[in-house]
Amino acid sequence: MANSAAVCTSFKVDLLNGIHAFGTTVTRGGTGADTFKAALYLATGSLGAGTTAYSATSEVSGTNYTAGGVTVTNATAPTSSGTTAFWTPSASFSWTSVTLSTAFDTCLIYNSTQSNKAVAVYTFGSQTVTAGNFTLTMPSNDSSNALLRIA
Amino acid sequence: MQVYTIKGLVDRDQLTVKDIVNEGANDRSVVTEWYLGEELVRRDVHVMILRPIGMDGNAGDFK
Repeated sequence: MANSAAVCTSFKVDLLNGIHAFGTTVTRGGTGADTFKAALYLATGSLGAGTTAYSATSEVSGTNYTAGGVTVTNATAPTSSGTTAFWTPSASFSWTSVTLSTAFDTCLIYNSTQSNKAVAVYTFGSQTVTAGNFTLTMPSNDSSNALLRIA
Repeated sequence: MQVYTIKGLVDRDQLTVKDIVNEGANDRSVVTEWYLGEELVRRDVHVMILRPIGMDGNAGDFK
């Protein structure tokens, strides 16, 4: 057995659980689990790695769509397998009987408890919905496929 | 059975349904289009994310 440099897998899971704070000021409020939300964005938007928080700019609008999106169902705590920490929402994101006439291709997950701070941006083929349902189906919650992974 | 559309509730028998499967770089989508005659009156979309978001957490070296 020899020593090896690594980011500890437990730390990766801890990051997803909000355990560590490297900043000079601890700004996290509350000790309970945060509420996360998912919002949809137009194909003309410019979300990406530089996105820092939820914004209504370029968000879709239409019948039965509420600005800010839907609450993410979070019944499964982050975990790890091998050296990868991961997390996946425990239910798909669904919008029912919506009409979204302008093409959209992006979903932003953000933390509505922590000042709407951004988590991740997911893109997919450009879509419209007419008086129908839109569903983003979650992948398997494992180290290869989970929606959010720290490898 | 009746189906909710832009025309309100319409008998299922009056509607023609077309399923379209698209596969993109990040996703696979199943689109169901409902037509009343030639008119699109309902469009459902189900998207499966195929490529998850990942971060690399690598320890640095002391150099």
